[in-house]
Amino acid sequence: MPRVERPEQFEPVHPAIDRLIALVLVLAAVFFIWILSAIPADARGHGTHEALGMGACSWPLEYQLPCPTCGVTTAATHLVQFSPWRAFVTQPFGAILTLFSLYLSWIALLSLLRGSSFMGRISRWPIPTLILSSLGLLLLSWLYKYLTWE
Amino acid sequence: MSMSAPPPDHSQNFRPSWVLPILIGALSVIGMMFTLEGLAFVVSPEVALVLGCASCCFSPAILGFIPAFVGIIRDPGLQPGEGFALSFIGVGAGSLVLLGVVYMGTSIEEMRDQGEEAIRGSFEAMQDDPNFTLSEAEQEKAIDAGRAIFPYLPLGMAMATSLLSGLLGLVSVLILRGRARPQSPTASA
Repeated sequence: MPRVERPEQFEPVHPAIDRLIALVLVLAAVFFIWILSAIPADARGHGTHEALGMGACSWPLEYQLPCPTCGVTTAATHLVQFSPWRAFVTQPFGAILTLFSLYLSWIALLSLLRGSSFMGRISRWPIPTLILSSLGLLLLSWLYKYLTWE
Repeated sequence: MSMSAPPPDHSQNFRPSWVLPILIGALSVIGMMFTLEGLAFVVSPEVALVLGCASCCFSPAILGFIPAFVGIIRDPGLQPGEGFALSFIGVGAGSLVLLGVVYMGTSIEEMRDQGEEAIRGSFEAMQDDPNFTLSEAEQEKAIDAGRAIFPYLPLGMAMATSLLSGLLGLVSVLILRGRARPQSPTASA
């Protein structure tokens, strides 16, 4: 399939909408960093969201097995609290997802500061490949979590 | 009579309005939440919980495909970035309405109290778990953090939901674009 080269200033949406998306992404990142730095990471390796008053995941309660995203919040909490190794050991998908989200927010912030198109930049990424890789990583991390489940 | 330039011909560049897909996206979010609320009261809270938790706390994000779907039906040339924007604005607008309902119906102090109650409840439920190692001081620290965070939690969830739905809109356009592309005149000849 021929690669479509797009100019550097390619803007797939109106600049105002582009800036709004970038701004919301940056604000959401700041908000979740604040939350994750304030709550303690659960020692069980999953269930950190319960410290926010949310209900416990039903898979460990009903089946004594992890759900595909069990440990993602805990891994994100470890990463935000500067324990990257513990984050990867807890849930590799969660750690990589958090890193990717931080990277995306950084790009959004840079786009806002430079006045360049955020959507233009991410629309040049190989989105289908990224999604399929994420799904593969999610399944592998689930297998890892299942094998290390206590 | 002064000569004026002929009006520009926009017929080749005509793009359908985004208002309808955005409106449908916003209404679907509001409709979904009212349906879940209705199910919780009429059928059972468990049914609403299962449906609502189908995609964790970000359930409305799954509606992100609707604005993108309507958008690509109206405009087969819709780009993935535009699909992101359509779903982001549509679901975001619906989430804003729900946020308005939440913030008008509950005071900040009530939200803090609800948060504290929920966190204390989850700590109490975990007391028998041997892996639960938080000391009293750590629990109080977490409760204090929860009281500070809780009033802003709906806002954070709405932002994250809008972004996730935008991503889903982008993916929907990527998948649907090939199917919705009009056939060229030579292909039908």
